[in-house]
Amino acid sequence: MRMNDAFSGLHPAVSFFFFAAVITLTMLYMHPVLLTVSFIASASYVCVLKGARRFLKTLLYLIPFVLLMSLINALFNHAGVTPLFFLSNGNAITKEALTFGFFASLMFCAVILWFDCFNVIMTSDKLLLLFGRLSPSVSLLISMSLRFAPKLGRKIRSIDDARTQIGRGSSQGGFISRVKNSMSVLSITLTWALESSVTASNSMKSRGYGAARRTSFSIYRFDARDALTLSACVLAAGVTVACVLSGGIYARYYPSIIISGFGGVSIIGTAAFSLLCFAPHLFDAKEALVWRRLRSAI
Amino acid sequence: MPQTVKERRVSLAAAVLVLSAAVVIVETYLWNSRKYYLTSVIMILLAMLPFFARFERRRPQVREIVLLAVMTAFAVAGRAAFYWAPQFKPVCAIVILTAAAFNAEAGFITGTASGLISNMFFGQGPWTPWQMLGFGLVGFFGGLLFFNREVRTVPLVAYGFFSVLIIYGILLDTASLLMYSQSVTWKALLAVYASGFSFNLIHAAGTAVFLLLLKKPVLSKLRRIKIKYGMMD
Repeated sequence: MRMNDAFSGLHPAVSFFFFAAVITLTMLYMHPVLLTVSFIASASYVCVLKGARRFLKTLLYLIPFVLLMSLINALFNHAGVTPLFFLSNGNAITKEALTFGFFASLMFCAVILWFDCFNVIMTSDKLLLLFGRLSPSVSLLISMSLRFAPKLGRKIRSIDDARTQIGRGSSQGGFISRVKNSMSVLSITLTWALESSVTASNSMKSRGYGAARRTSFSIYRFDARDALTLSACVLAAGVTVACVLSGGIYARYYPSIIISGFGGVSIIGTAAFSLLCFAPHLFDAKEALVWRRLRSAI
Repeated sequence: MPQTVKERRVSLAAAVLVLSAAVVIVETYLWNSRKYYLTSVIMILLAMLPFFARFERRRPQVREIVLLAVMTAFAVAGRAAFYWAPQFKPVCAIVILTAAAFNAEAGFITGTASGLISNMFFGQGPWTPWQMLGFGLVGFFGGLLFFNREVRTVPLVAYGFFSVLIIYGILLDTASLLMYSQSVTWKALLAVYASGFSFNLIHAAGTAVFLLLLKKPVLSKLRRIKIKYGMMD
């Protein structure tokens, strides 16, 4: 768990459901208000998880992308009833296409930012815990190669270092000899890796792999707090979907822009979606309050 | 209910087909929305399901799993080693060689696992399922073509070049169109293929170069270990 974010310390099932719901709903509904909510929530959560500086760096390449995508959509798509001006080939640049392009790229940005958070929180051990039971062989394969990949990287470096001492390093000599030397390093590493894989599997077998169901170590426990948060997220997502399905929230871009106004259903739906998107922020705020109360009670 | 392997396979394939059709029908007729990206991801996951189900069902030996894990790690480490060269990656080459030495299934599993695991290091995103399917298919067809045969250099390198250019390239370019835009037209698709062509060309040429360089050492080592320890029979 990170010190400034209690939400990432919740059970992996809760985190995974949260990301699945938020990302799916963001992609599903192209409503300007929902997209803005999702974008702001994801952006601020990236700031919490990775710091404002890293967020600004991401933003630096997202902004030109948003502009470019809006432009491309307007250039390739001439649907819509409100022409702003005409290109030399007679095609119209329409207000609808520009607006749609803008919100489509806003959606893409929000999804990318949510995935940024996902990559921080959903570490490989959490994913394996969640999906390992579905397919024991595949999850063993994945967890072993997760371990092998950095190990191979280190082995490659150490073999290369050793060969550099006798003048056969991957960065010695001309181009041809560099390529040749690099291939030798790879080839040596592969021999070593294959032999060690056989040793590893023999060792696993003699320690009883496959004799019984495989259990896996996990430090996560599903407690009342997780249950409460999970049911709140499920409820919020359900209400959002129900509001959209009932027709209270909709957005149409072609041929003319029609976006649902503020009615009862749309307010409820937007509130539910905001609750879902800001769940990490709310949870962190609640934890901070509890912490302050406990501290002042001492 | 006792079933033969063949019957099971057929029923699994039928289930996947029916489910995919159901997804499309619900999408277009009931919701009347065209959420191309989400639909396509659901279909990709459905399409990968039988491969994994088969792998799991036949209870692979420990040696097999560990060996495929090593090849996957090799592909991932290879992608990491060439992080500075955009698109010039050895992943496909390693996946194809694994498929040629073991079989099509091994190629598919190594490919999809490489896609998933390398993204655990480089960052998951909406592109992950597409990359998994792309690498997996390149490996799968490679296995169908080259497994249990004498592998000649020219067809192997040609297969590497064209499979990456066509299978992987077109899959990933389609993915980027579906990700960025909701208006999928032939014109936009062609524009995306045209703009992605140079990247795919680098990737394909890189795969060809790696296949040329790695074919002899990697294939002979994989075959040696297969004969020595009687694996993958």
